Amino acid sequence: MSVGAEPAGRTGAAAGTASLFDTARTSGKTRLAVQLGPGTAWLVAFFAIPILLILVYSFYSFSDGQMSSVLTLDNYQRALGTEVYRTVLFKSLRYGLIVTIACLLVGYPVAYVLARAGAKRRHLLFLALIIPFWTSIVVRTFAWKIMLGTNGLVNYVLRDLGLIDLPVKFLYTEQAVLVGLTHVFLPFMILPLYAVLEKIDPSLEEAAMDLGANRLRTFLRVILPLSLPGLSTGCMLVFILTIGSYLTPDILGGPSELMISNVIRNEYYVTFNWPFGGALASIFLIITLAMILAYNRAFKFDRMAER
Amino acid sequence: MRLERFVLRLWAGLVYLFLFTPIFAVVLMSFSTSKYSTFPVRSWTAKWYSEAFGDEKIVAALQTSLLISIVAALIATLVGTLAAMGFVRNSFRSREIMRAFFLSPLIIPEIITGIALLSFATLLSVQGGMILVIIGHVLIGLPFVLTVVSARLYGFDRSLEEAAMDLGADEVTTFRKITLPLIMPGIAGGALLAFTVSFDNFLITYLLAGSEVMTIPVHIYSMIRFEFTPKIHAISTVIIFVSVSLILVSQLLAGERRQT
Repeated sequence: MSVGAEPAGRTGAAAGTASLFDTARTSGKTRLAVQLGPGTAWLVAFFAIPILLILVYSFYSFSDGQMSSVLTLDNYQRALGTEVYRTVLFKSLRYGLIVTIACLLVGYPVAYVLARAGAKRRHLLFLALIIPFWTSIVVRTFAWKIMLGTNGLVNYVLRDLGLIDLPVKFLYTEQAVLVGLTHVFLPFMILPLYAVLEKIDPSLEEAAMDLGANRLRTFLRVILPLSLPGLSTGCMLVFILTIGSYLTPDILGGPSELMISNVIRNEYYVTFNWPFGGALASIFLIITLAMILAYNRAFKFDRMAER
Repeated sequence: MRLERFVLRLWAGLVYLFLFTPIFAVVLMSFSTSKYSTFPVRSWTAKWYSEAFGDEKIVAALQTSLLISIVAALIATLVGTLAAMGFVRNSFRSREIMRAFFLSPLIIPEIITGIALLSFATLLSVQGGMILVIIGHVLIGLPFVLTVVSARLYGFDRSLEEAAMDLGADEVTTFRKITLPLIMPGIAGGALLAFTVSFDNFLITYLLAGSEVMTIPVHIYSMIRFEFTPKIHAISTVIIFVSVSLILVSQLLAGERRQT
């Protein structure tokens, strides 16, 4: 808002001195076109139109390895009506839910500790958090392969402690995929939570406790409601990123652990059935966009409640 | 009260352990003499590093990655900085929607971005390859540049520009001499993030590169999947080191505002 209201005085001054343009209004429009034009063009040409193309192809037919522009709904019927694809879709959503809840439960206390630490330690802990955040996903997923292998660190530690005699097979299981995903996406939960928790005045907590609320009640009635914007951002990010993951199920899961991204990739690159792959991709895209819209509505609702 | 604080801190400590142990495990393995990812480490060596850097394919992949990331980061920085100025310095009706559009490549699954560009390129009879990869990387680098440069522009004292204009500088001179130097840390920070996003990207590259172009994340992936060698540990450690240093520098640049 401040941006919109503020330049009024300035434009007058600029119009007086700037010899480059005659009228402030046209110069403003030209400037805006120069500033936003290149980015808009890039996004329309290389993002929006290509995505529309997926949607268009998803209604094409496919026979004898050839795509033809005879329009059909068969691809959607097959995608939603076939057991295999429904299973993959539901599994992706289920993983999304499990990983989101895991990240929330694991990450919330960490974000809280971070937000309440002294300035110097907080800075250090924050830096330490963005290191895994920015470590290549290929490397981090590979790291879990090292951790969970038969001769991996986890098996070694368990054997050393005498908890197991023979190595346990962790790799290529659902659990391995879930642990890997939680590791990869945990920072996406902690960072937005930390951002809101840091802004909550600690004296609010003290006030609640002085007034007789115990820790749990203080948390449920004061901290948790105030942290909802960060919590919803974190949950949305983790959920969307998880259901779209490709690498982790590919490396840590077996052939039965494929998620929706893996299946879409196979349709495009192995069977070359672009219409069907396009239908799967469109369904996936619609789910993602629905999540974002739901988040937006919830978030605005949340802001209204604050007033 | 004390106990709760202790439990909370212990939990946080365990979570940091969870986050860092796998990364340390890779670094440890890179110095182990064992040919596989085997614990415990019996003896130490640095030979995997010399072997990795003596491996033509790895060196070529590193060079390709560097080239792609530098070009993608430059384009993303130029386009993103312009857009940030457009969004911060103007108010227009569709501003919020446009901003969301500019940020959307972050949230749209990479598989969609990848196959969308593939479909588009095929329609135009363009083969997969470096240019296509760069186009994709610019898309995902843009939101980072936009966010970081916008933050810098919001914390910007506009009276400095007004003063320059009052003293007779035209718009271009004012931008060059006043605005640009002041937002430079933001631009550099955004550029580093765009570089890192591109350098670490796997899926978009994997989908669009075709058979000719091999970046380091894609090469590491194919080594993990098809031809395991302990050189993976060494080159992974190098990658971790590169990303982490770049991010620390970009953090320093972002934090610089508070000191000045």
